[in-house]
Amino acid sequence: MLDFNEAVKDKVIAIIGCGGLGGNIAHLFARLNPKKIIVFDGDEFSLSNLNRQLCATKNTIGKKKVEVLEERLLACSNSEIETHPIFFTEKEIPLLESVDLILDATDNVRSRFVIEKAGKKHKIPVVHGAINGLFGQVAIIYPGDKTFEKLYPDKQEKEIQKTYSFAPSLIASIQVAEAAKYFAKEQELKPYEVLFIDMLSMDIKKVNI
Amino acid sequence: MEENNLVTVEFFGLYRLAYKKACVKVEAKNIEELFQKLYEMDDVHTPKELRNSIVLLNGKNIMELRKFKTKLKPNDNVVIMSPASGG
Repeated sequence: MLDFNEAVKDKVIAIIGCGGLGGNIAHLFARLNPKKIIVFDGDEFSLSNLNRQLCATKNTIGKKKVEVLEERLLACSNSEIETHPIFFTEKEIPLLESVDLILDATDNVRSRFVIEKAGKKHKIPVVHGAINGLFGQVAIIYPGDKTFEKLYPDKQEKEIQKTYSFAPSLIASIQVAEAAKYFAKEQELKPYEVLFIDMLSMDIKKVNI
Repeated sequence: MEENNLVTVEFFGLYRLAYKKACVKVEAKNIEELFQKLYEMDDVHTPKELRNSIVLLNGKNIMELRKFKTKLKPNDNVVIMSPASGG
């Protein structure tokens, strides 16, 4: 019988980005009760976040995302929470030394290459997720894999379509499922496998890129 | 045009929205020509822009094959995808 609580109870995870994806990931993972959750985000909540970011409310606008998130997570989890009210750059890579897995919840291509580098440096996997409008994708990047070079060969930021609350929720749920399965050693995505999801037609493709 | 020279092209992600269809049949000898034919069909994306997409030929990334010179055979399946990058 699978026991994901048991599989994650001694694990430390880092969530990079606390927006649409990161807020959902943090809430979902906190209820699995890992040993520790480390979150990074230098941003504050704004009015435009209300439509899709779990911790964005009329009362939290202007507050640091990681601080609001910490309060919410402590209320629903026994995990230790460590917050970094800064954006994740090359300088922050050493802060992930004790981490067992990174969840990529950032919103830009440049940061993702830094996260991939952090995974390689610490020999830990990165569970990647991204959304654009009603489309999204999930992959596990194992240490040394160059998945982002295949996903974003031009390394350019992409045109962003308006998104809605259910899009980050769905992709975040799959990211947390893949992370939990990774720790439980249970049918997680293989290297260079990417799950592409079109929420408009509900067409789902698992492709080897 | 002979029917058996056609390849099936599936659009995924933003390309599906841009072309307003999920699938189209096109006659082309290689990926480069396919991009040109798609542009002639609908100028929503130039061949240069299409080079930034992820292109799978029968499930294999063309970057692992002969890139844009990769040859196409009748009844091949091409998927053109756009990676998401928001969070």
